[in-house]
Amino acid sequence: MPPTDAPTPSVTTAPRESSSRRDPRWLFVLAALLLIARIAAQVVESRRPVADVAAEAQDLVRWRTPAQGAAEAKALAKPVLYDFTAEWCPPCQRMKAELFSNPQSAQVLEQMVVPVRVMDRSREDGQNIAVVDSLQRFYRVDAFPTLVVAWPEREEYQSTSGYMGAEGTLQWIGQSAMKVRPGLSVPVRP
Amino acid sequence: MTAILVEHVTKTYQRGMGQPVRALDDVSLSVEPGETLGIIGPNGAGKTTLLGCMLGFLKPDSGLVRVEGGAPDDLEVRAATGYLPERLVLDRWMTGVDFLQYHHALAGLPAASRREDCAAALVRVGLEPSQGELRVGRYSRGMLQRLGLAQALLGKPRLLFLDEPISGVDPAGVLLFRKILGDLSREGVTLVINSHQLAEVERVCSRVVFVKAGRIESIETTRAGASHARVLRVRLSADVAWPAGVSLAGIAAGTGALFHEWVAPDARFTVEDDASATRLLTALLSAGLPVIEVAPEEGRLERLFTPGGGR
Amino acid sequence: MNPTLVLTFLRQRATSPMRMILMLMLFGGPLMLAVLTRSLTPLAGVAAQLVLVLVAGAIGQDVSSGVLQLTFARPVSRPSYVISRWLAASLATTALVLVQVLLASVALIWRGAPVGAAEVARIVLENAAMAFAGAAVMIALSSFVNGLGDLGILFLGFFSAQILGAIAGQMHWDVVAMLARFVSDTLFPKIDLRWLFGGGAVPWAELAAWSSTLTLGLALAIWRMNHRELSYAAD
Repeated sequence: MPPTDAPTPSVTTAPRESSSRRDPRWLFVLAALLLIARIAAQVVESRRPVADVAAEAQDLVRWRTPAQGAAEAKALAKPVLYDFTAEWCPPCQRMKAELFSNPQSAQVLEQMVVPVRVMDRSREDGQNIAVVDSLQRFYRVDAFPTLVVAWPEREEYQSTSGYMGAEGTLQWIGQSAMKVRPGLSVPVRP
Repeated sequence: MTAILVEHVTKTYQRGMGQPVRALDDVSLSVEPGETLGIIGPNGAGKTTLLGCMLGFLKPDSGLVRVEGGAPDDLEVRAATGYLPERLVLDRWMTGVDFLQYHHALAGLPAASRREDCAAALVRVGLEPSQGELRVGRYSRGMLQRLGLAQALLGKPRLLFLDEPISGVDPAGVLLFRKILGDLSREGVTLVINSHQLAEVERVCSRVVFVKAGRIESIETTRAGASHARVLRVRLSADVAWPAGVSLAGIAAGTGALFHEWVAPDARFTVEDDASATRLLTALLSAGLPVIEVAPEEGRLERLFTPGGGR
Repeated sequence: MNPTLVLTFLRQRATSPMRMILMLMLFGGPLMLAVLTRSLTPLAGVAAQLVLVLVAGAIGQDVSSGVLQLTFARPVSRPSYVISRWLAASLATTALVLVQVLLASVALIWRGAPVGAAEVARIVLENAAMAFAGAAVMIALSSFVNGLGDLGILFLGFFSAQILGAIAGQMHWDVVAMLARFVSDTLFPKIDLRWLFGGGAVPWAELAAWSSTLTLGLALAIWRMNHRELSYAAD
């Protein structure tokens, strides 16, 4: 084909609106801004005292009353988890912030046990209500937090004091739940 | 406007821990609209890199590539381009028709004509409708190549890039491809063909670019056009006697052709154009020489590959 | 956003037996658990896993198989390719979870367990948020690593962060612990929407983290695909 008398093509950069590789600058800017915002928020958050964080943290576990808990555990053939705790106790706050406010942990907990919170109010009110008192005495609770895993209407139970971290606590709960099952449980000194 | 413009393109690859490899070194080329260009060269020469730059897959380190005046990765350019890769890779679960319809849609072609366009494309490359319904995982190599060509032709692209198009294709398929490429050329489509099949390249392309070690070593013109010189091989019978006093060089000179050599039973001449060829042959026959066969010389391109080859 | 790419992506996923089996298990398993425990909580995190099954290798496998070149020979912009994959995986996951939650709700109601509309909405939205952000993370990883390497990087990163975080917690290396949490939160993004459905403070930090992860993932993937050279055959 004979060459046409066309003008030589301009060697300037071709317009890029129709490029297949156009960078969406607005997205890049937004991503950068949000990243900065996120890091700033995390830094601010990490500087706040744990108690504040815990106070704000939403407790995701659906705590039953002792009576409800016992009944439900018997019906569903699941062990009860008693959380002996107090408002003024820092490890209890950490446990709430790290374990009970975590959706995945809360979910796992619900599957393994029936959670019952036993709140000690002796410092605030002078003494506890009867059911709290009797539970504390039955399970020999003398420190907070204390977790007790017990099978309804059976003697054996597992207990631990102090906060072992989220993972450790979950593992302990799981193992204890296995240990107190009837037929599998080994008699344990309380 | 040139169809494809490559100006002083250099492209270097960093190969792992080793030396950087200069795949293209100051390559310049221009392809006119409607031309059929062949790209040949040894392995590792940079042909695939050159093709990649023309297709917008690779960005040259320096220099310029323009397709129809625009950057090769512009969406408009992509819409006017068809591409048949060397190794066609498809999702095995698709049928041939699925695959064509998928590319028809990706090319932005109207959904209303999708079914007919894809059926027509299948027919054009010699695939049966029943074969179109098969999963491509069951396709033979030849069928895959045909499907690949069909896909490249969707939407009537103005430019077509074919990488080893007839590799693995049976002879009937080769004839069909040749016909299709010829039709496309007549329709004014610009073709760029990368191939090791030198005979086909010579037959189909009007110009051939020989790439070696990242540079364009030469650009050969192959197609017998009115203004293109070529070499003729004239075979003379060994049984019939020659008239006395005949000089091949003299006859050639008298018609404006150039006599190269006589290696029995062939004589080689260079002619300027078709008219010159006719004059030469007329003169040879008038001189009483027993011409039994005339053919354009083959194997020109092979010579480029031999050391010291070229002319 | 390219509808052809979205549909073909989903069709292609549907032809992978491994993916379909995994999705069936992730659909049926938590559903059964929800019905058995009479609670919707087993469905709380299912989108994170579902989206992984759908989206793993979304870009990386196209690169290793060589399909990507032919795709980009067409007038397909690279950003739309990325967005299409992201949307396809996210929307499909959200749709599946929606069906799952609705089925579970119906089953629960039939078995007499209480199901609140707010709870249903919250679980679906939280899952959707996990799907969209999780898909963005995987797409970003997949744009840098071929084949199914994105899955490998995800788990490697997550477990490293967990271990490092535990060590840092014991050793009180606060900055390292923060970094570890940053990484694991980014790799498995989630969001708590209780504040939307019943008060409570708006967790700005968590919202910032989630939206940052989403935008960052998409931005990285698009940037990478825009500036990437398709590795052509070594000629």
